[in-house]
Formats: sequence, structure tokens, C-alpha cells
Amino acid sequence: MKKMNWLILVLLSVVFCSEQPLAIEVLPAPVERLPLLELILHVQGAGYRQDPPGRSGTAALLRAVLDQGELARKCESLGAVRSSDLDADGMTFRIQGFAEDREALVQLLWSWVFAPSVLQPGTPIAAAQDLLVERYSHLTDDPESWALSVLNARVWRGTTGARGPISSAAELKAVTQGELKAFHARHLRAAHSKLWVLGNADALEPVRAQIQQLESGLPSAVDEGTQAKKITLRSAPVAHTAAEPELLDRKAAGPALVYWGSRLARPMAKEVAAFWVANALLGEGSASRLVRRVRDGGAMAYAVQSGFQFQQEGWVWTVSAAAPAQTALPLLKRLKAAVAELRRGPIESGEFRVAQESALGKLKLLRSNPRAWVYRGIDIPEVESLLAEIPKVRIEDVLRALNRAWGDAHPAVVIVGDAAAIRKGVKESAHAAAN
Amino acid sequence: MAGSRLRQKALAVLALVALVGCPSDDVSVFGLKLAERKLSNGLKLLAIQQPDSPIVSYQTWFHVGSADEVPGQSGLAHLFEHLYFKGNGELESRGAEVSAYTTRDFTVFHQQFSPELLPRVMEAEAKRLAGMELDEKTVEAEKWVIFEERLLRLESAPEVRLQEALWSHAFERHPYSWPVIGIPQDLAQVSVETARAFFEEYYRPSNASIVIVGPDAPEEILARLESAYGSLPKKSAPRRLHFVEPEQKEERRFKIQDPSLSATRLGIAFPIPSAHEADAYALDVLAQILFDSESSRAQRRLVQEKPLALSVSGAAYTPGQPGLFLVTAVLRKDVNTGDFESEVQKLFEDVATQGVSTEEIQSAVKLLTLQLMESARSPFGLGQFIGTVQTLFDEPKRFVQDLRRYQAVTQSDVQRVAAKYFGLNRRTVVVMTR
Repeated sequence: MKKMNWLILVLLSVVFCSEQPLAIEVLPAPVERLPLLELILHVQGAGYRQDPPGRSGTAALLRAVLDQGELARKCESLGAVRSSDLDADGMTFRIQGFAEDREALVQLLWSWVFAPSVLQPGTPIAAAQDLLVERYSHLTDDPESWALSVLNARVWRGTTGARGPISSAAELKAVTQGELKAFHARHLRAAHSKLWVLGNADALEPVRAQIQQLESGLPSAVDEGTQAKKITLRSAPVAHTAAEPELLDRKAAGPALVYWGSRLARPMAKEVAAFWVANALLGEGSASRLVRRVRDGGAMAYAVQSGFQFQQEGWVWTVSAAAPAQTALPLLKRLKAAVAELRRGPIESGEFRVAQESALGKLKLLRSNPRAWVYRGIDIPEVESLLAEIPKVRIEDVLRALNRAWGDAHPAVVIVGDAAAIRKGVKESAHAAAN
Repeated sequence: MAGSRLRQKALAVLALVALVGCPSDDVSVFGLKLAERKLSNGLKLLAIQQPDSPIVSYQTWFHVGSADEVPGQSGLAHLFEHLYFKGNGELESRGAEVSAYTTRDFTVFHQQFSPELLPRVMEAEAKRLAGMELDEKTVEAEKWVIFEERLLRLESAPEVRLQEALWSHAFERHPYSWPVIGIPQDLAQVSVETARAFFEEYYRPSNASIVIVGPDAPEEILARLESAYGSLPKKSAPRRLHFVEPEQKEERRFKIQDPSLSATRLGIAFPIPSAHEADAYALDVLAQILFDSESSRAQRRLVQEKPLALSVSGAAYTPGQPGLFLVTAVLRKDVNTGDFESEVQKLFEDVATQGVSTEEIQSAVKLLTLQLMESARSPFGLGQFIGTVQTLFDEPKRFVQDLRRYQAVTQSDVQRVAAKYFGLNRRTVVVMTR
């Protein structure tokens, strides 16, 4: 089970809605003697949330098409590697190579994202479409991804975040080359981007100068019809979801995976530290409540944890666990009981201090890894601010956070596993209780 | 937490010396001094100073893995990883990251934390190595945890199951044939006495190395480590088992049916030498050229140009004893597995008959260098590869020679290993389908 990273908690204060030129920030690598250079570019507003109506998968297809062509070979001839990611709110492009190839690496990144040759008229996209559609059709082979995609759809029901990178093979197949080009022109804009330069600090100024030169080559007047709207960060109202767990039937030898997610509106900046500590208390690490109650005390699940997932519209706080299919529903009951107990309080001061110290220690570890922050679009001052706020968090702040998340939001539950065995386990435990 | 890290080792050495080029009697890593000491009880200590690091990586390496298990006791090394690891809760609750893993050749316990916790960790780890209480209840409880871990990490992941099947069928006698996590029936029979004997045999100072990467001066760290661990009694080196795998002379084919799968997976394994053999370097370069990059030959031919596979990967796993070159793929719908196997075989044959270009070699070596530099960027990564080289070769300075070996790989070396190790009679094929 992938570890959901609570690091994204602090993303809330990142604002990308500037129409200013590309902002470049430098984050020195932990070992500055290394002659490496890494460029990470976030393009905010280029996520799957922006897929046009009836064209689910446009952003995913664009990302795949941008990866095509000769760039890979050019990149590898330098001994460099590259990768890209897509989420609901944006795309991230990363290229890493040797510092001595700085100029070529910047040029490659720029060509890849802002001046792609693969979007020229007549460039075939059918092969990329077929590949994506077929990969999408095998989603059920990976129970974790399957469960998370369904949970995502349930939690974000009623918003554009619910659609996921691809929600319809037919819609993806219908996307045309012209539509891809339009999406690129509208959403992959330097003005919506941030570039981080990881490496020796001496690289910053030359990279900045080169980027400014490249920017000057972009069209200065932007057609109003193609310019992306300014991104807003308001929270959408929380949608109510059905309380019944959704069973995804998968007949396999592995355990059932239980995901229980609660959507909440974006916390205010001053509340972030409380959520950070609350998660440490709930399900992060061996001293957390869920691990002690469900794994160590109850012997009900090998893996149990909690963490946050983030979109611009809000957060999802998820509790997840794995257990034999027959015990999946009793496990869910146990998870709910543990959360309810924690919400009711009181929280003993010793337990609270452990969670506070744990949250602080983990934050210090993460501060030592610039990439961990950069990938999430976070600046170091925000990390420092959070480090200062965590010691000020009080027990009542944590209780408020817990009740806000798990009280009124009508959490969604998705379980993937052998559905017959899951239901049989309930009958057996009911029968055992009756006897 | 099982898995082979040995290929990392083979590559890591390249990165180190590329940057340092230091004389062999004054070892530094990325310009950071490496200090080492061997205590009279046989414990090896290695410390590297990263003056600007805000954290410490503390790693305890034991030269024991599933290769040290005998038939019927599979999973014992991994079980002991769990048992030895217990009791880290307090450290974790102070914000430290604590974890452990077992491979076929070694077991590693590692913690990352703020420097102020170092004395506490050092004291706790020395106490742990001095001896531990084991009772039946603890052993039985941990077996349950491992059964659950097995279900989650192995049974739920088709790719992992495919890899395990390849190791299982490519080896007939060697302990590499069974999964590091063990076979459930074997694990169920492990007694507390067996676990105690295992601890006594392998968890001794002479079979361990402590690797610390952090901001403090390395000589000071070594002095503190000596103070903490120096009083542990000396014991002889543990026994080593030697299994000789018979040479494979015929192709082996197996099929796994799994009704939960929608896409067919295919895996091919070829026996190759250990990390100790010279060919390991050329095999790494070959893997890079054929499989391990975005524009590798396999990516271009099997994924991009022909609609044969949704994904394909290949790597040379060269552990402490002879290993495997593994190729795995998720096939496109309606692709005949035999056609795909032929295409993979043609990749090797093309190199064997026509060789590779100078540009391909140069690009591959640069990519390998970059990957390893990247992996050694963090205190944890740096400690990992120093620990690997130390544990496998007992030579933390070995990378000086290893770099030269990588740089010396020629077109004819790559062509030669492609011709030598990838014959049809040497392969094991596993098809996993619905």
C-alpha cells in the first residue's frame, strides 16, 4: 500500500495564480559537490480538471504525446533522465543531468513543455491514444490504484476532480490533434509555471538568464480566447457521499484493501499545523492510535495508516488498511471505532506530546530533502513556518481538526477484494455472535 | 522489505570515483572523508561526515540473507529482521524514520533522525546487538505479521509474483530459488529455538558493519561507536553455506493462471555471474542499452514501434552469488507470447552479432553514473552503497578499482556477454495470464 504523504498538508498556502513571468527559485542539493543539475517545472492549471467537456483524458494524452519524439534520445545522449506527472491541478516536468550540460538541459526542458515539435499538424496521436486506453483497461490488475481511483471519484463527486486522469476510453479516443494543441496553448503557459533549480547554487543565475531569453521568444500578445483563466483557490462545498462501503470484487489471493476517505475544505493557514499533529496522532507511525488499536492491540491488519491527499479544491484525509477478506468489514468497524474514540477525546497529554514530537521530527527530516518539497510546489519558508507552529498546537486544536474532518463530511469507503469472502465474513461473525 | 540492492552497489562505485579520483590510501566520497575502523570483536565501523546535513543516517548491516537459509527454513532471515527490529517505537515517536529490509545476501536496519538523538540510538543499538530476549509468543506474533505482509506485498502484486516465479524456477538447488519473505509452510514451523540459534550464528559483531553518515566529525563518531560496541565479545565468523547450482542446459517454461488478471505478463530469466565477476560490469551496460532508458532498444522496438508491450523492463541482478538477468513485460492484448519472446531474443542476438555503437556505450555509462550519483545524494543513499560494498566485498575502498572496470567496458565486452549468457537453452520463461 502506497504511503500517502501528509506532506501535502502545507500546500494550501501555495498560490500559483500569478500572471507574472516565470518565477525561478533555487534549492541547493544536500550534497553541493555533486556536479548534477535538476530542473523541476510545475505548470499549474494544466491538470485533468481542465479536460474539456466530453474529452476526458485530454491532459493525460497531451502529457503522453509530449513525451514522444526525439527528445528522449537527445536527453539520454547527455546522460540525463526526465519524467513527468499529471494530477488534478497541474503537470510537473523534471529533467536531471550533469551540471556541465546546463544550457542544453534548459533548452530541452523548454522545447519539451513550451515549444513541442510533436504538436505540429499531422503528427499522429493514435498510437499514444491506443496505449493509454489499453493501460487504463487494466486498472483492475493493480488493486490499490483501482481502489484509489474509485475513492477519488466518490469523494470528489460533483466536482471536476472526480473524473480522474482518464474516466472514459471513448472520450479519450475522440480527442483530436487540434484539441490537444488547443489544450496546450491554453493551459501550458509559462506564466502559470514555477521552475526549481536543484544543484549547485552557481547554476541559478545562468538558468534564470537563459529562461528569460527563451521567454522573450514566446508570443507577447496572448489571444484572449486561448489564455487560461486565472486560477482560483476557493474551496468547493463538500459533497455528501453514500455511507455504504463500495465493494470492488477482485478474486485474488491477496488481502482486501480498505480505504476510508473524508473530504474537507482547505484549512486556513493557521490550522495546518493542527492537522499535521492530528495525523501523527491518528495513523502515522507505530505510536499512532490506529496502529496501536488495530494492528498491535487488535491484530486485525498488517498495514494500517492515515494520510492526506490534496487538490486545489480541498483535501482528502484517508485511513487505509489491509486485512484478509473475511475480516475486512469488521476491520472497517474497528477503524471507525478508533477514530470515533479519538474524536470524542479526551486525549491524554503524554500521547499528544508524542504525536507533536513525532510530527516535528518527521518535518525536520523532510526539510533536509529539498526535492520532497519542490515536487509539491512548496517553498522552504513555508516549511520553516510549519516547524514554528507545531509546538504551539494545543489538544483542542487537534480535536477540532479531527471533528471537522471526520464529523460532518460523510466519508466514503471503498474496499477491494473478494466480495463473496468479505460478505461471508460478516455472516460468520454475526453467526458467531448469535451463538 | 525484501529485495535485491546489489545492482545498486555495482553502479554506485562508478559514481563515487568519477567525482573523487582520490588516491586509494586517502578515501573520500564526494569530497567527504570516510573513516573506518575494525574493532577487536570484528565489528566494522564506517563514518562519513556531511557537515551541512541536518540529519543522521544510522545503518546496521548484517551479512546474512535468504542465501544463508537451508531448505525447510526459508524466510528465517526475514523473520529475524522483524524480531530484531521490534522496540523502535520510542525512537519513531520522536520523529525518527526507522525501517529495515532483507535481501538474498544481507539484512539492513536503518534510522534517520536529528543529530541530538544520536547518543540514544547508539546506546540502544549496541544493547540490541549484545543480546535479545526471544519468547514463543513474540515469534508466533511476528509470523502472523509476516503472513499478512506476504499477502500484501507478494500476492497482491502481479509483477512481484512474476519475479518470484522466475527466481524460483531458474534456480533448482540454490537458496536464491525461494522468496526472501519465505514459504509459509516453512515459516510456520520455525521454533523459538531455531530463531535463537540464528541470532547466535549471524547477529554477531564479526558479521556486522555500522555505517553512519551525518554532520559530526567521523573520528569522533568512531570513538563513540567504539565506546558503545567495543565491549561486545568476540566470536568467530559465522558459517557460510555453499550451494552449487547445476548448469542449466535446457529451456524451462512455466505458466501461472490468475483469474483476477486482465493483462498477460511475461518474464524471462537468464543465469549470469555474481557481482564478484568481471562480466557483471558489461552486463550492467548491456541492460542499460537494451532496457533501462526511455529510448532503449526495447522501448523503441517493443513498445513504441511495434504494439507488443504496454511496458517492458530488464536488469542484471548480480548478487553475492551467481544471479539472473531478468526481462519482464506486460503484453498488449492479443499479442502472442511466442512472438514477444522472439523479439526479446532478437534484441540479444542483434547485440551478439552486430554489437553496439560507441554512442550507446557512452550514453549508458553516463546514465549509470547519474543514477548512482543521485542515489548517493542523501545521507541514507550514501550509507546504503558504502554498506553494500563493505558487506559484500569487505572492501569499502573497492570502488576505486570498480570505476576503472566500468569505464573500461568496451563494445566487444558488451557484444561478448550478449553472446555468452543469452542462449535459448539457458532461459527460463514464465507466462502469467488470466
